[in-house]
Parts: sequence; C-alpha cells; structure tokens
Amino acid sequence: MTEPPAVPAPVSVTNAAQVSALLERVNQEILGALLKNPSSASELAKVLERPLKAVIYRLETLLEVGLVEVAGERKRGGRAIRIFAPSSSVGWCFPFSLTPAATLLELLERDMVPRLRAMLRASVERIRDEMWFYFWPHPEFKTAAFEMRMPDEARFEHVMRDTTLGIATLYLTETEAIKLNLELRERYFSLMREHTDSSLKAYSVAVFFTPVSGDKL
Amino acid sequence: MTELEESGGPTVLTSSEQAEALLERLSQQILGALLKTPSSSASEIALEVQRSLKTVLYWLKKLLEVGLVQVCGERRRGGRAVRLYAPSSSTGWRFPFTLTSAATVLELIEGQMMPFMREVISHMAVHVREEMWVELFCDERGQVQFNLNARSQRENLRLERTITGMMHQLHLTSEQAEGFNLRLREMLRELQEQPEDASQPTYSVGLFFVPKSVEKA
Repeated sequence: MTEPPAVPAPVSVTNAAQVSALLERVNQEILGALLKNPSSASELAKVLERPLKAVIYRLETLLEVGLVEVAGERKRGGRAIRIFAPSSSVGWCFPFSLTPAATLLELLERDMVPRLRAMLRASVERIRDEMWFYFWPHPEFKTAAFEMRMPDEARFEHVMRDTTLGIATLYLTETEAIKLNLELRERYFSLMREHTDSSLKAYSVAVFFTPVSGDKL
Repeated sequence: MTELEESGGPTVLTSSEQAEALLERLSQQILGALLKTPSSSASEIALEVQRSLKTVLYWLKKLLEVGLVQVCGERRRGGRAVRLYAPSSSTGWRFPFTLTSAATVLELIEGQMMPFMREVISHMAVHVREEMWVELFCDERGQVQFNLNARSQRENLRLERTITGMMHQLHLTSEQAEGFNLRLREMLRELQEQPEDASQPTYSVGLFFVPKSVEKA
C-alpha cells in the first residue's frame, strides 16, 4: 500500500512480545530515532519532545524484548551514560497474523485514525475564529456542498496557503483509475523527494486513493 | 476552494439556532434536496434522501421553525392538500464559526471528514488478498516508515495499482510549504475535473496537508 521498502529488507520478527512492542506508537518513535542515530535517553527525550521518565520506561521495555541494545557508554561528570542502539539497523517486519488485531481494518484504523484526526485538528486550530461555514449550491458541484471558507477570498487564500483538506469522489473505469492512481503516486513521491531538513518546521501530508464500489459499510 | 461568486452569495445566518440546524447531517440532506428541487413535498424529499417520511416531517418542522425552509404552496392529491416546501434562500447559507461553540467546530469537522476516512480505510482493507506484513524501518531520506506490504511483489504491484494510502512528515521552509501546498491543490483540482459518470465504479480520493507534525497524536 506504500512505497516498497528500501533494500536491505527489514529483519523478520516472530516473537509476540516484540510484535506488540513494535505496534506501539511511542516505541515506533523511539526506534525510529535510534535507527537514525544511536543516542542516550536524554538525547532521545529531547528529539522526541517527550518526558525523560517516559522515554526511560519505554527503553527498558525495548531492552527487555530485545529490540534495543546498549551500544556503549559515555562519561558525563562522574556518571556513565548509556547509549542505546536498535537491535537491527535495517528495521523489523512481521506478518499481520502475529498482531493482536482481529482484522486488517482494525490495524489500519489504529494506525491511521488518530493521525488523521490530529491533522483535522491542526487544520482548524489556528484559523477557526475567522472561518465561515457555507452550505450552498456550489457552482461547480451538482449537489449542495458543505464547505469551510471565508467571505474575504484573498484572506482565505492567505490563511490556507499551507493547508489543504481535500476529499473527492470520482467515477472512473478501472483503466482510468489505475492510470490516475499511478500518476498520483508518482507526483506525490516527486514532492516527497524534496529537501527535508529536520531543523525546519514540521508539516504533515497524506494521500489516499481507493475504490469504494461494492459493499458499503 | 473555488472562487466565490460575487453576485449574491449565500445568505448570512445570524442566529445560532439556524447555524445548529444547518450543521445537522439530515438537515443538510433535506436542504440539499430542496436547493436542487424547490417545491417538493415531504414524501418527495423522503424519497430523495432515503429516509422515512416521519423523520423528514420531523426535521421539516424544525427547519420551518428556524426559518430555513418555507411552505411555498400546496398540491391537491385525492381530497388532501399536500404542502410544498422550498428553501428560504436559493443561494444557500453561510455563517461564521463564531456563531457556534469552538468545541462544536472541531466535532463538526471530524463529523464531516472521519466517516469518509473510515470508509476509505475499510475499503483499503477489503482489497487486500494476501497476508500483509508490517514493516518499521528508516528510509533513505532518514524518515521512519511504518508500512504494510505483501511478501509477494505481484500482490504489492496489484495493490499499488489500485490503492494508495500514505502519510508522511516533512520539514520545509514556509516558501517550500506554500509551493508544496499549491501543487497538492493542483492535483486535487485535476482529479475533480474528471467527468462525473455515475454509471462507472466509484473511487475516493483524499489529499491533506497541514502545518504541524501529527506523529505524537
């Protein structure tokens, strides 16, 4: 569903404790940071903007299940500071059947819904006092549409210069759909290849394309 | 995000009762039907929005009370007079966020978007044939990826042709962010320009971009 992994392939995990640890979002953040740079607990806490206590607690769990190792020590003042590293430098993978999720849907929802919700929240928190709701027979749509916008079009464009929340329903033949989807992916990846410097401001981006014919939930 | 028509935009609402009525999904459906076909009877509306007559009558009464709907005439059917309804504004309505409570706004946007997103996610899960593998690794751009992939290249290619579901975090300057956002909108606009032929299979597309990291959600 996403870009094929960069080679070499991640290490396959079969241990249930490792699988459930890998499914936790905070652990994913910690392991992700360690995959980039082996670090001390306080460095991790700083990078992840999480309390040191929480990071240490998670590191202990990850050490126990063997996803993290102590790679060395650094002396600071008189004290020894442990440096942590991931047990695999190429990441991990495991089959869906090893997860506690009953259905793939459950797993997807668990991964995506909180982040989507956070995106919605981020999109409105700065701007809600200025925003208007419109419910109107939009000139471009065949049915009445519900929209967020502002009476002052120039102001609206300015406020939304770094925000997009767009959803659309398309009617396509299968051939058209495949063509559009592949095009969408290609354009998205070319956007993603742009320079990323973690000292700059963080933005979140998401793209979805899926057939919805057949049984509706 | 399209140009607002200068000539007589949607009517501005000033009462919070009206705003709240307009925020209800079913009111929107009824008003949408009336904007499309003014002078409809309750049973015609019920047919259009696929709800029971009783429910539609209940909501029409509410909408009459707050003044979003008017009785515009009567039709004789058998010996009985059937009331015909019309929207109080043919250009639709608009109101500022401040007319509703702040909590309502977020709830509302979630209410508008999340059912759509859940449907998208559920359809993604439906199209998967082989067992998926969960992968956590650091890609060549130094970004941590949490991916679902099949083991067989064939299944991955099949899924890639049909489905896209990706979320990423980017670090950008504000100029880069604006450029990125513009190009996303352009993609969305191009997608929306596809002919609307309801006899073809349906696809859902979503493109989101927000100026915030949502990894800690």
